[in-house]
Amino acid sequence: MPSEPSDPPGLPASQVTFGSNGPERTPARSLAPSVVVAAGGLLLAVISFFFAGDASGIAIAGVVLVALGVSRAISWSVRRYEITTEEVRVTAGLLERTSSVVPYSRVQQVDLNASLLQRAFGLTTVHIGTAGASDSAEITIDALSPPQAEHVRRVILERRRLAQLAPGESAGDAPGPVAAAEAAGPPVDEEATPALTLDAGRLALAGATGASIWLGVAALFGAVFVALSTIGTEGSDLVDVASAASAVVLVMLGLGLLFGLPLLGAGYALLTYGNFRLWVTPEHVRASYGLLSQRRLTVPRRRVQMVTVADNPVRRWLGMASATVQSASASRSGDSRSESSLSVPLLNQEELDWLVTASVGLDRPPLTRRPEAARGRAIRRRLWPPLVLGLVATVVLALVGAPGGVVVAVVLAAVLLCVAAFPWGRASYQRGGYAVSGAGLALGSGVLTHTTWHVPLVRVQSAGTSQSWFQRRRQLASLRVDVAGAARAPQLRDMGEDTSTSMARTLPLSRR
Amino acid sequence: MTEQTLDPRIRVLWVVGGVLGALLVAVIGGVVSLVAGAPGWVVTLVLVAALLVLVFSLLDAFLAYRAWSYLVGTDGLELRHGVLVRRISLIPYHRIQQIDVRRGPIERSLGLSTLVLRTAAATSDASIPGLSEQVADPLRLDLLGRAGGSDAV
Repeated sequence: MPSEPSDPPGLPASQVTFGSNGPERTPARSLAPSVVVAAGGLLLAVISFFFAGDASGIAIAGVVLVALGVSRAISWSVRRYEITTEEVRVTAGLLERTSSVVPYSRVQQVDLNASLLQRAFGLTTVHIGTAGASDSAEITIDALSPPQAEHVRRVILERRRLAQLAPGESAGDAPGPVAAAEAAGPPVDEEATPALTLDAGRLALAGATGASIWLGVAALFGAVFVALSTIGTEGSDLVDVASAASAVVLVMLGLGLLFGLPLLGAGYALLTYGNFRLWVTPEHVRASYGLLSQRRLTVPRRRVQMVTVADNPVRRWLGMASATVQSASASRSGDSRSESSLSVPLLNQEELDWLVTASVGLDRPPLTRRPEAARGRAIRRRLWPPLVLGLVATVVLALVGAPGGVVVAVVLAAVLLCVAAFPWGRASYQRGGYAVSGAGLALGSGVLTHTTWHVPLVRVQSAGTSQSWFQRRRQLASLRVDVAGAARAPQLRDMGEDTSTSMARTLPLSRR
Repeated sequence: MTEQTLDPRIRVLWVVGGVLGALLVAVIGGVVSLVAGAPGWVVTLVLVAALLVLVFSLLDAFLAYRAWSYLVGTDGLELRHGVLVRRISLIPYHRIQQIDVRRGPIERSLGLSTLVLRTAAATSDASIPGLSEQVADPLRLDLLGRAGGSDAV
């Protein structure tokens, strides 16, 4: 039978156990954040009433907020959780009663999340993820006190571990060679020192070199474009001087955004990922981070599906990349990646090697290049669309009788894209590639954002190739590898026809 | 087992789909251009577009039927389909999580079914359209029998 993990010190067991003695509601305190939000809304409405004198606004806002609060309270009052020895059950619904059951053996991931507001009231939400693409593949216990949540997390993970060992499997059957070396480690990973911590400098760098860079570049380009078009307009000398001045201001603004947005990104990353710690134990991969809202994600090692490593030119220049440890519960509709996958903002090469080995038991092999024919394909793939679209657009614009400036701009853009297709396609060919080792598969592709997927062969669910008419002429084909929890399947275009077909035939056949 | 083709009647289903699509283009385009009071050549253009949709979908129905085949192999199911882009898809039996049979209204009247296989990965491409009822049910049972009982995630 499951051996109960010891309760966190300092609290009597009766206050900590939750749902273990029959169906139970979360503490009434868990309604506090929504009460605060409702009260805040009412307050705003009152203020607007006194200062603007609009009585209908307050009435509507009041009714809506009260209705929201009441519905939230009702749904809380009819929702019951039970944590039995075999499964977690949730019963909910006033009119239509639904009951969800998750057996421990099916648990893919357990997360503890606490938003800033929840933290103010000492609350933590527990997310229990299972495989599957729908929202119903997740159970949310909203919300418990931190010790209760921690206890629930431990109980679920420990029972999951035991449930998995049950059908005649030995404990040594863990993924990868690293597990054997670490097998002597403690079963509960709480007190162990983290294997990896990211300091504030690293997090700031992660934020500054992330999406904010592209936004900054886009802002600069936009400002320059607007400035150029301002200067380009016809007018008297007086207007020209004024427009030149405003153009300078615009360019300065663009430059400011180019540097300001990464600064904002750095601040955001510091708040989101602050105090980032990562543990990898024989049983679990666990991350804990967040200065304002706190998140603690735990994926059982045996549930890790793959590790994705992604970089961009700036991070590549620094020799760094971000990584995501993916479980099967990661692909929920809509808010997939940001919500539930375990991502590490920025790692150097040694840390990346370590993470891939530690979490999926693979090394990061050099990628094999695709056949020579793929180079031309990569260029033509980027050359034809701007060529054809540019021609069509030019003809249509000329027929419609568009102003000459517009036609020139379209032609210029098309020519630029066509010229760019050559270095872009060549880079795509050189950076893309594949590697198959005894235990794993690595696929890499992308020019600006380069992504490498590291997939243990036993995690490949199914595979496929696709071959367009153009690829057929050059004996090329694209490979797609289906992995549980991946919203976007690892794939590589323009591999050799025979290589991709034989890989698609053999890769999914590996068994544990 | 050798490579199997779809039931030839699937072409009827796809042709009906093409005709409906062409009708949709003609009706919507026609109504909009009439209401907007567009000149005659716009209406002609709409009709030509509808005709093109019809011709391409008819052509596609026959070519797609010729391109489709599936093979119940020793380790897994192998699907081949696609006209312009040829696709090969492999689904090992031990990865199959769920098998659904789907019958739309036109499929029902033709006595056809679509077999939808699911693995733990949402991106798996694994459904076989155009199976006659004599084929679909035995195939479903056959695949269910081969599907692994173990947790495939």
